[in-house]
Amino acid sequence: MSALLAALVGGLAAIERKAVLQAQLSRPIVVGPLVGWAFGDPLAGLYVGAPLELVWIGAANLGAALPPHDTAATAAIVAAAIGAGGDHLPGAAASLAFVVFGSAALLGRRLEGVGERANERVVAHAAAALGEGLPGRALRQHLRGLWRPFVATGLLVLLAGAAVGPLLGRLLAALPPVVHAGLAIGWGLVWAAGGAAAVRAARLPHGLALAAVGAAGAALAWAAAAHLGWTEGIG
Amino acid sequence: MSARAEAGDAAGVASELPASVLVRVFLRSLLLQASWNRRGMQNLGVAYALWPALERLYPDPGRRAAAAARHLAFFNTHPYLAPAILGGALRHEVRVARGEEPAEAVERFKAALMGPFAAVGDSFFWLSLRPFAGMWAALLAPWIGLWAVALFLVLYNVPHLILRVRLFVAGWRGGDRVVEQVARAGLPKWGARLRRTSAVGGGAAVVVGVHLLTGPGLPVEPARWLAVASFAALVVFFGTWALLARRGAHWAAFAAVLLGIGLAFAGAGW
Repeated sequence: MSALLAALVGGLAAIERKAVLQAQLSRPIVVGPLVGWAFGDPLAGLYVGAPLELVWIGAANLGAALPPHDTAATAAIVAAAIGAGGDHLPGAAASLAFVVFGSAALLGRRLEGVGERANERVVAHAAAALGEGLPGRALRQHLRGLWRPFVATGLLVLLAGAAVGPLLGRLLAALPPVVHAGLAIGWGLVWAAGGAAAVRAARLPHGLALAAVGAAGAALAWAAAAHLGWTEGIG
Repeated sequence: MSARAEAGDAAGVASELPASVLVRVFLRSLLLQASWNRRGMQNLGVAYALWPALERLYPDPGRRAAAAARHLAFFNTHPYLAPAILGGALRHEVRVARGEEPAEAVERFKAALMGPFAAVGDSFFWLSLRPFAGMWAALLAPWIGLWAVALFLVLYNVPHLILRVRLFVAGWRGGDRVVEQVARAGLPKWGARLRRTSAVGGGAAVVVGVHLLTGPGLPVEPARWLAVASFAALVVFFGTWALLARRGAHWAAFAAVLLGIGLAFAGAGW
């Protein structure tokens, strides 16, 4: 039931990504917690979605160029990581789910391109209906473009949450502790990859210098927080 | 046409298109890209959005269908700035319906604005505001939890929704003068500022990653582990920086996971 709800959430987010509203409910930092909520654990979804937000921070739909489908990939990764269940280090499940479903971003992009080509036929139908003097019917064709992203992403999330997640859980349980720990470390390092992606996305000639300022500031804040005993966090 | 004549014209226009129709057009503009396609791009979306107004403006079915058909011409712009063009196109459609302008005036208006507005919108919303909001929400997520989601949505959507509504109204009221409204918003200047703060946040993300690696359940003696984790994070950061010139960021993230496994194996030998 949770996987079905997650599939519904993922499908709706995929529609929101481009076809409707675009209030960015489809971004990893939002869709991660939403899919997590479907499984009863929104914080786990945030734990996975936050670094993925950085990894895909520069993904932008500029003109006809399609970016990686961060929504489909994030929803599948979160569904698989939470669907893995068990008492694993949280980063370990996230890393393993990312290894399995990270490339869903590329698959999603390909499917989005297929959908856009199919929409050319939708427009042709609309033009034909207009030619027959049926404008109302013609313009209703517009909404036919909504079902493809919903179904494609929904099925992917369902597969991830209901089938692949439990398999990943078994795999994690069978892995030696050192690999388990390595996967968890890897998830921390994904933040660094996301940081570099963000600096690149800023497209500034002095971006690295600004990043150095940010790193220094964060290190100082961390040292100050440790000195004051503030150590809470979802990590 | 003088400013006074235009003002009078606007008042007359308002009586022909009631607020309920304008609201319907705006709400339908939120679905502008539902049938986005490579040939006409947002063309069917424009016709779909404007339809409630066209129904009202052209009682004759033939003229109504012709009005809808002319909006099937190629159209593509940034979805958030599209309401400005749709509002202005409506104003032109009213004049066309009254016989004050040729139908080509609507097309000329749309064609002239869609390119520049696409460039402004892409640069500000996709490449500046969204990375800014995503960056700071993600960075704070380990400490503020689910409030990070609210922070992201507020940082992004308050300016987004305000601009979207205001530009639609400006397009409807001002017609061609909507260009001045967009210019006055100063989006390129704000975009540059936001991108600078995102770059600062990119560096901070490395430290956040290292911080998360020093949580419970992870290997070896703390001081040594902190040094190793920091070095590994820097390797990933600069490796990603180099890789991103040719590959997507998620390939770098894969490499980060592999490096993590490698570090664990190395740590097991310590």
